[in-house]
Amino acid sequence: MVRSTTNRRLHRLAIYALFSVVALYTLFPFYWMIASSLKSGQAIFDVTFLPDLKFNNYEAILSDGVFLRSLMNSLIVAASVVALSLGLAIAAAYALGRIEFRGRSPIMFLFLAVSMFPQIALLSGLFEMIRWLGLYNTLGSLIFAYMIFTLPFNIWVLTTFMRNLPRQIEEAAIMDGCSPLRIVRCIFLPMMGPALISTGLLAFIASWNEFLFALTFILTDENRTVPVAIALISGSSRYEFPYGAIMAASTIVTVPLIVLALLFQKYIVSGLTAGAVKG
Amino acid sequence: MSGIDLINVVKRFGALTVIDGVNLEIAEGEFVVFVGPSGCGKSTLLRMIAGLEEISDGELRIAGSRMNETPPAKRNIAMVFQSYALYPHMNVERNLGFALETARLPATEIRERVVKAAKFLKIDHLLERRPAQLSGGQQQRVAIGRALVRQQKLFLFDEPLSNLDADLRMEMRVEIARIHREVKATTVYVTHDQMEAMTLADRIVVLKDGDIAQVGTPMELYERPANRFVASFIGSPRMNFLPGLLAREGEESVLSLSGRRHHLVAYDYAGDVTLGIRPEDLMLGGGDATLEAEVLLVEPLGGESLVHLNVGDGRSIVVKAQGKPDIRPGATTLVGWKHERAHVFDKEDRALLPGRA
Repeated sequence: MVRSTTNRRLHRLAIYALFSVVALYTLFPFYWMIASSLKSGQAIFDVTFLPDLKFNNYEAILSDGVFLRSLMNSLIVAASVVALSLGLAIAAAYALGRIEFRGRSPIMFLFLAVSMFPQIALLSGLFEMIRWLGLYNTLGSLIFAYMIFTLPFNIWVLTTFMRNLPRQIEEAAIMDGCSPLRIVRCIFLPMMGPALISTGLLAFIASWNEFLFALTFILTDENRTVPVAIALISGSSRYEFPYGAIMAASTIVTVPLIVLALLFQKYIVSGLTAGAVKG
Repeated sequence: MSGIDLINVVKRFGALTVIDGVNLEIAEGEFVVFVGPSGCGKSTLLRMIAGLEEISDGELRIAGSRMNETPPAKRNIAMVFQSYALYPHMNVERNLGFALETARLPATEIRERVVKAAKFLKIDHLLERRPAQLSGGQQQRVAIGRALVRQQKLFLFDEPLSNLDADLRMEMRVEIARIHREVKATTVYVTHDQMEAMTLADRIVVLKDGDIAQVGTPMELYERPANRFVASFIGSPRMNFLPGLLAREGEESVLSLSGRRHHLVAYDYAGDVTLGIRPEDLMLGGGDATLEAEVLLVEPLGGESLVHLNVGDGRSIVVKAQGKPDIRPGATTLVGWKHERAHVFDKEDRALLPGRA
C-alpha cells in the first residue's frame, strides 16, 4: 500500500519533470524573443533572463510605416489565401467526397503529390508563371503561390471529413427540396465547422509565416509581407544590427497567431483528429 | 388523387437485379407496409418511390402522373429515415421548419406550421433543443414532425423504429398509427419486423429477392399465406412445417404424415407436400389429427407458454399453449390440430387450396 503510493508519486513526478523539459524546450525561444524585445540599447547583449520592461523597441517599430504596411500586407495575403483556398477546397471536397465518378482516387493522390514538392523546386517555374500572369511584385503573386501548398492539404482534409458525413442527412436535405449548393451551405458547412477552422487556421499560419516566395516575388518595400520585412530591418549604420527592433517586430507578428490558436483551440483538436482518424 | 402505381418496376445495380419487375397499386390514404428479410429490396423499392434511387425500367406513377424523371423534391413526398437524419447543428424548431424555409414560405407561416406539428407530436416544449439533447424517441418524433410540417399527401417511412428500444418502439408504433388516422396521408412503410407490419398496415407487401411474394391485408396473409415464405415470415413464433405425402383417393385426399394417414378434403395435387401449422393452432392432447411427441422444453411467458416438442426424425415443433401446461421435459404427449387450420404447400412451396392445383 505504502509502496504503491510512493510509486504513484514518483510516477507523477516523472511526468511533471518530462512535461517541464518539453515546455522549456518549446517555449524558451519565445520567452527569449519577448524578453529581448523589452530590453533597450546595449542591455540586449547582457545575458539576463528577466526583461527590463522597456518599450522603446516597440515604439520604434510601430512608428515605422514600412513595418505597419507589411503587417497589413501579410494580413491581406493570409486572409485571402484562407478565403480562397477554403472556398475552392469545399467545392472540390463536395465533388470528391460525395459524388461518384471515375478517377476520384488518382485525383486525390495527385493533390497529395503536388504538396510533396519542395518549395525551392517550384520557385523558378512559378516565377515564370507569375511574370506571365503579370502578378510580379503584387500581393496577388503571393496569394497565387500560397494556394499551391494550402489547397492540396485543405482538399485532402475536407474530403475525408465530407465523406464521413452521414448519407441519410444529405438525402433528408434532398427530400426537403435542397439544391446541392444549399446542402453544402446550410447542412454540410455548419457540420464541418471544426474541420474548416483547423484547415483555415493552418492555411493562415502557413501564409503568414512564408518567407521564400515572399522574398522572391516581391520587389519593393510597400508590397512586402512581414517575415521578409523583419529580415530586412536594418540599423542606422551598416555596423549596427537592430536586434531589439527585430525581436519586437517578431513578437508583434506572433501575437495574432497565438490569439487565433487560443480562440479556436477546441475546434482545432477535434477537426484534426476527425480528419486523421477517419481518413 | 395521391395513390402510387408501380408498373413493372425494375432496379439493376450493374449486372445485379435488385428489384425484378414489381407491380403494385397503392390507393390514396392507404397504409402499406413493405416487409421482408434484409436484402429483399424493400428499402430500395421505397427509395425508388422517393426518387433517391433511379428506376432502371418500368414506370412509377404518383397521383396518375409518371414520376420516373421527377426530382425527389417535386414528387410531393415526405420521408422519415431510419437514422432520423436530423440536422445536428439546428435546433428542433429549425429542423422542423427547414423544408419550408427552403421553399421560401413566409416566416410567420413556418412558425405556425412548426408549432402545430410540434403540439401534435407533443414535442412543443423541446423546440429550442438540439438533436443531441434529445432522447431516441424524441428524435424520432422530430423526424416525423419534419415530414408532417410539409403537409404532403404521401409519407414514406424507412424502418423508422428499428433504432429504438422495445418500449419506445411500441409507443411510437401507436403514435404512427394515430398520425395516419388523423392525417390520412398515403403511407408506405418499410420494416423487417412482421409485428409492426401486422399492427400498422392496411395492406402488407411481402418481398423476397426483389419480387413480391404476396400482397394482402394482415389477416389475409396470416390466414391464407400464398406460399411457405410468407407463411413462415408472418406470425410469431414461426409456423411449424412437417413433410408429408399427399395422395388422391376418390372424393378426398389422404395425407401421410409420420406414418399416420389423415383424410382431408380433395386437393388436385399428389406428391410430396409440406404441412404448415401455426404454434397457436396446435393443441396438446387432441384435434382432428394428432402426432405423438416428446416434450423438449416448456417456456412459460406468463399468460401463455411455448412448448417445444420432438415429433421424431429430429424434427421439433413449437406449440403455443394457454397458461402453463402441466407437463415436464421428457414426457410423451399427443399434439393435434384442426384440419381447417393446417396449410398445405406443394413441392414449389406454393400454398394448395382444396380442389385446385
